[in-house]
Amino acid sequence: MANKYVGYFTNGLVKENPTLRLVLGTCPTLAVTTAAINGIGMGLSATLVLVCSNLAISLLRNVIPDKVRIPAFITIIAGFVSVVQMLVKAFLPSIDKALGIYLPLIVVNCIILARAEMFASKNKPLPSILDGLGMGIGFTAVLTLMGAIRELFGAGSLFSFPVTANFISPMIIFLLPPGGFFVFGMLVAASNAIAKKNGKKAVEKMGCENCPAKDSCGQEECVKEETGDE
Amino acid sequence: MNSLTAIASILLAAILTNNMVLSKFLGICPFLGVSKKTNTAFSMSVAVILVMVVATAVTWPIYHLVLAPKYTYLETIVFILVIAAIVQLIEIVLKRYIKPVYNALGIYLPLITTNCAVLGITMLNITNELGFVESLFNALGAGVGFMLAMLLFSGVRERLETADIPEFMKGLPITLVAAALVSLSFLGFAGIGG
Amino acid sequence: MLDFLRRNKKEVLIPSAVLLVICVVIPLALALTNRLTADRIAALEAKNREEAMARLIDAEEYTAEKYEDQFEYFVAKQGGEEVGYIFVTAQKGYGGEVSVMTAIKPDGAIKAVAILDVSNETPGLGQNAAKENFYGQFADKTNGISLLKNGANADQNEINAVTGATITSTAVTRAVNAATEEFEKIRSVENHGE
Repeated sequence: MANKYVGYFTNGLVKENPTLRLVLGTCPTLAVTTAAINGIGMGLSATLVLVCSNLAISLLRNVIPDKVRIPAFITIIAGFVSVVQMLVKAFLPSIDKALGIYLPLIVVNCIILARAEMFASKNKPLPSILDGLGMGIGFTAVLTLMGAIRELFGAGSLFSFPVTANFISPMIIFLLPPGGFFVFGMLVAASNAIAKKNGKKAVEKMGCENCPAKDSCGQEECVKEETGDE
Repeated sequence: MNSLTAIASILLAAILTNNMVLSKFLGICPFLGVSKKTNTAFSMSVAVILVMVVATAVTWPIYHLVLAPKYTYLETIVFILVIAAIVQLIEIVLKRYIKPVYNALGIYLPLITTNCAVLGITMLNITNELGFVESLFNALGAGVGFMLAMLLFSGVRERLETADIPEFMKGLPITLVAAALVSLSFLGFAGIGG
Repeated sequence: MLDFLRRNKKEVLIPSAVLLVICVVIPLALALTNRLTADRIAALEAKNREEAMARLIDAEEYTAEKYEDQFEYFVAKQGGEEVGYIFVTAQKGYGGEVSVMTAIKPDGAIKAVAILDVSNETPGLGQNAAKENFYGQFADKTNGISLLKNGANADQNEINAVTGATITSTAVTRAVNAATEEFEKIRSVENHGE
């Protein structure tokens, strides 16, 4: 029994890591990871929203009619995002400045809507909280790792402490947009290689197919688009 | 004349230097998901441009006439709901009155509600304190920039299909590296429209 | 109408009611959070501004003044005497607004400049404008400051741009020049008054 609960939690850490395995929430993953601390700030803000929205949606899962569930979920998520936004502004203003509009954009972070739709609306509160926590920490870990890599190569520092900055000239390209795409590509390649070694499949789906709104959007088209046959 | 140059500079900045996808990282999901073929990339982009401009035309007055200055904390929740409603409305109107356009764009519309580029542009218009007309052109430019990135990238991906790629890089990794190169080429536009 | 609703209770009434309740409860919760955090956010902003002003120019008190509804500035007073004027100005940089605080001595020379916000600029390039070896150059300059590229030797009223970030450097310089213009305006009013 307890094992099952551990499973809900660890699922999001490695096996179904939202960033590297489900390829959700790519926008903030690329945008804010110019420094490790931004990765932590973004990750934890999203985790807080994810846990709260998973809990709320799980509690309301029998109350919300199926027909209006997507607008209801979006409203609930937007509410929690606004609360987190105000709290960050009041207590961590430097993080607020670094994240800019990506903080309110957590609303449209697919991870949160996807977990609401795929997990919280079908499960009891406790598993939903654990799922949100695991997914959130998995997201935070990848964002922090990516922020650390980009900061180390691009600015020669880690968490703002100079590491190599004094004897190797930093490669600023890592902090610029191309560096974001490149580092993320390398991380996915590494995670695919590790997954293959363990007998799992590489990530094939991307974007559209993992989108929680795909059910409502002529899923056939999405799948057709993805597999490329018409 | 002066306002014309101002608008031209907003458009250029939104399309090239501050490209939604390649420099602001907004709308990455459709950029990776719907860019395999040039024609689908085009239809999706047209839908995005439409929603961006209409959403800006609605959210800007709401923010400045209703929310500001006392209720600005409702910005996020009001904007996302307004965008969701607009998308629904556009879908209904197109379905009812302009059937051919609906057939071409219909399936992409629901995807756009959770597209961060749309919510992003409406919010950027507010944070950058743009006026109403400037905001509309900024939204138009951002949409066109999105289309430009989608079309360029779909061309790159069609080439990737036939390329010989190392096993571990196949799929998403090589797509991201290709995106890095396209985004690198956009860095060359830095300075235009400043 | 009523009959229609009764028949469609399950289809229409219940979903609408649930949505309505959600849409009332959540904004109420937000209003509550806003009440709890608004004061703190405002106090934090005021404190940051005070601290930035104190770093620029040493004075006992800073009083906000208005110039003909056009802009706001602060007068720094030490022992009842005006020791400087502080202006907050912003200009468009690479990714958005760059805002700068400039302290000007009564004789018109710049006392010091502080960079308030470059968070929209590129990390590693434009954001380097927030380092002292750039903004420190403004001290003792007067007005009409121009920007030099490629590390040439700066003369009177010239400063060197941040490497690789001409746009951000230009934005900062323009903002400082705007502050000196505002200073000229208030000084001409004061001179007329005497």
